[in-house]
Amino acid sequence: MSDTAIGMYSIILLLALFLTGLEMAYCLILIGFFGFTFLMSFPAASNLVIKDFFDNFTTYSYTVIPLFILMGEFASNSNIAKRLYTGAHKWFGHIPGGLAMTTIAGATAFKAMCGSTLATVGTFSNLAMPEMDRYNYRKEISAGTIASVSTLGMILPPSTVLIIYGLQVEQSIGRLFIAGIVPSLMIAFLFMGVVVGWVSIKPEMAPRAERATWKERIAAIPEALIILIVFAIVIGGMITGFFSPTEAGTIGTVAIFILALIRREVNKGMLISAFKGALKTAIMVLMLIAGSSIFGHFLAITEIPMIAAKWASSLPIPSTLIMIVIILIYLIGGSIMDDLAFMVVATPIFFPTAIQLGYDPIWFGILICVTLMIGGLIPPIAVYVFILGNITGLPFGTIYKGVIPFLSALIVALVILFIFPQIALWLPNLMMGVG
Amino acid sequence: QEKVMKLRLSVFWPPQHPHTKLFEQWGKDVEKVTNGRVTVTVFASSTLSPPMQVYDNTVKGIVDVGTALLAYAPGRLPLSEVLQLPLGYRNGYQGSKLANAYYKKFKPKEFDDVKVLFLHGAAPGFIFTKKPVKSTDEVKGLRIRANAENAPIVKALGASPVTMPVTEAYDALSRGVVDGTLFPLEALQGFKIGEVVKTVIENYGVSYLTSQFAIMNKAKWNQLSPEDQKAIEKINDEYNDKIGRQWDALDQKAKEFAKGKGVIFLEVSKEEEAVTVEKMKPILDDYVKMAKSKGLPGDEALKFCLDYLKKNP
Amino acid sequence: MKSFTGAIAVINKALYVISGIVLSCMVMLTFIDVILRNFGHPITGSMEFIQYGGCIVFSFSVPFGTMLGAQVIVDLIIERINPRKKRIINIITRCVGIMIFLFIAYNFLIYGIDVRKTGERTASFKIPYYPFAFALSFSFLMQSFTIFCDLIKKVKGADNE
Ligand code: NA
Ligand code: NA
Repeated sequence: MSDTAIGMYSIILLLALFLTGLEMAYCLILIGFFGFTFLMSFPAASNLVIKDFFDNFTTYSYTVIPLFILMGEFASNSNIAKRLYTGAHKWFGHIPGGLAMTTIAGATAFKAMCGSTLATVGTFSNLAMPEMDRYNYRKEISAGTIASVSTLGMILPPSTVLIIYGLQVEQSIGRLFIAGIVPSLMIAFLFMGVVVGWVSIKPEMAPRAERATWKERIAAIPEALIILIVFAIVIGGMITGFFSPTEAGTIGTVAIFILALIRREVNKGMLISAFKGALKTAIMVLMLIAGSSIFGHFLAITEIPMIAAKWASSLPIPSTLIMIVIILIYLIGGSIMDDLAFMVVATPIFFPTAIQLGYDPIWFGILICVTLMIGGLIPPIAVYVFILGNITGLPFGTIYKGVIPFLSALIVALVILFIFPQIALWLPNLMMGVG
Repeated sequence: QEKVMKLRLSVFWPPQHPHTKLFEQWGKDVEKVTNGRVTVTVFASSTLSPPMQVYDNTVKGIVDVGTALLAYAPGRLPLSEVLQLPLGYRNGYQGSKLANAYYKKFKPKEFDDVKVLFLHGAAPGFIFTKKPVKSTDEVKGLRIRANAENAPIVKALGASPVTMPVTEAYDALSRGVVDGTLFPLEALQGFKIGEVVKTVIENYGVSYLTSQFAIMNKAKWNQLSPEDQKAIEKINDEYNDKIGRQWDALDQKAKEFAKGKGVIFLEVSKEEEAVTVEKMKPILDDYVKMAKSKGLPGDEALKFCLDYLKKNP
Repeated sequence: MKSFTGAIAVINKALYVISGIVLSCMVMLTFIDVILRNFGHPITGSMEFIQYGGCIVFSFSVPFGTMLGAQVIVDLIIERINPRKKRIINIITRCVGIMIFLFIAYNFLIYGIDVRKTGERTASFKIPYYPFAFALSFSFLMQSFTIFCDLIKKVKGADNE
């Protein structure tokens, strides 16, 4: 049996193992370990498992995960989030789906400051879900909104995925960041469109409230303003270089903590509950990351990613079709393994093909990011859906009912971006000159 | 039919990088000189092993052949830390040749758990600043990004070292989280740093070597026949030379790239350089002291390196 | 048996508290570092504190996290089969989980002894790696005990809904 065949069987075995109810992280460790034993040796595989745990647990950039989630926990445990949503409800509650749209805007802004898509889904599952429940939003629409909007961070600067892509293919990271802005706004608007459309067909999804009086609305402004100031501090501090994106989570946590302190909302119960929740979500994410890297290292030595790429590049078909095949491979890859891990493995191989076919390197980067956003939402490995499901306790069936409409918006966005590369390229060319 | 030994080689550079290509070529040459008894597959972009684990993963057999920074095995290679001191390296060719000569002369025990193929590295390492500066003195008080092992160089210049992952350097410089960075010239293009800095201070007083190893799992090496070992040893010497030349070529390209982005290369006077060399002395003394405390001949290693650099400018 | 389960819970909780305390230290350190850096006096090597603080935070929150249900499970099929079969499958998967983490704990112990010998230590503050390896080994040992407690519960049929 060839290494590649072993790899293919292991993927199937992994998916089957998931269904037994063995924890996903454990499944990844198990298959990665046995695969590596088979292809290399037992001692090598034993060492691989612990070395990958050690490396992931001591990776500086992963510390943002607990720190950002802690910020979200502080916001929700100190009633700050609750009051923000109350305010938003006063202003937008009478608009169909107003709170879902607030969540889209909020999560987009949050991601712009936090840099981690997984932290965004963790934070908003804790923060926005109970709030939308409070106003009798149906679980489908609130869960769908949160899971989908969290993926937006992949193309919204400062995106880790784009930084690594830029370094891998030697493109300007600044240009990539700017190229991500218009497409991410486009996707945010498409998401809002989904909310409007959905609610107009099924109004019971998001009950409309009575229009609040102007007096009530104005009374809600100071609350919102305080949060906006915290937001402004975090985003402004990052843009001006007062602190780095990795540190922004900490600064946000401290800012919200001080705010809660001033309002005398800090107590033992609130602190315990915030830390308890933050650590739980963080370790859930980290165990998955460690598991995927063990499995990913095994998959690497089967050379499946390389072979798939070479095959696609050699197909005797028109360039547009080759590009579609490449996107499909990213879609499948992104759906069965960690997005970043897959991008790192596949890009070096597909990038030269894309360039040879005359496609723009910056545009290609944005395109594969949107593809990976879709990959993160579709089974079998849909990290965003799993985290949301785990935190809220919702069954996957319910979450998927909510995710599907947004997923179709993402596919529309991908098609638009494919046909009109200018959506990504216009802004960087305008700001940095045609490169 | 003879059994074929398959070697998996880990590099952290991306697939198109000239160094990745060079290691692929090394693999092909190994296959040729061993008449196909050994084949090599290169895994680029750290897809086989995280960079920080390459050394130990090669010891443990997760990786068969690996190349990464000596600094990524901190504390494990104490005598060889001499290579990353600010010795005034002129270029990567000189640095790579010295690193290899040092290894052959001292055969440090610390490398005993692997087979060293060759050592190499990037040089010169300089300070790049975000704002234009006119002399090395202006670095005083600035926040300079540096790797932990080079932080003393920054401190000795009166600046404040800030450590952060290399992947964050670009963003941190562009937003002004730090005022400058200590990097080999190659990073101007390799990490696109040329886009976000204004001045490169060409002060050879601070110039250090980003020293790197190319190593092989010892058990795998011992399985080879003495003839094959000998044949591979021979091409290793060639490749030490080749990669040294390639470091040079990359530096030149990076310099062109940065100049194209409007970066000024500030040449400093001999006097200024001499002052800097004086400032770096305590770092060299600390190294010798550290080596002595471990019973290692740090003074001899340092003297050897300085003499080599003088003799081979 | 009850006292064993109780003792595991207490130790796990203690680890979780330590990990919370380390996390809050990381918040404070970063905050102070940001302020000082903007006045030109960064804390050199603060990254390393955050990095290895993170190691403690992550490893010590593993077992109690598992007790809180932090492990992601695909329950599409398992929730739909009859309780008897579900119980048997659960018992098997728990045993697999115990084996995995006992094995990881053992290998971390070996790794700890190994890095103690090779002398690997962090780059800025020269903190040896081995205490972290031992901490990880202990956490994963507790993790396997935690899954064992879950197994006892499953065998007794406590969750035969
Ligand atoms: Na997926
Ligand atoms: Na994915």
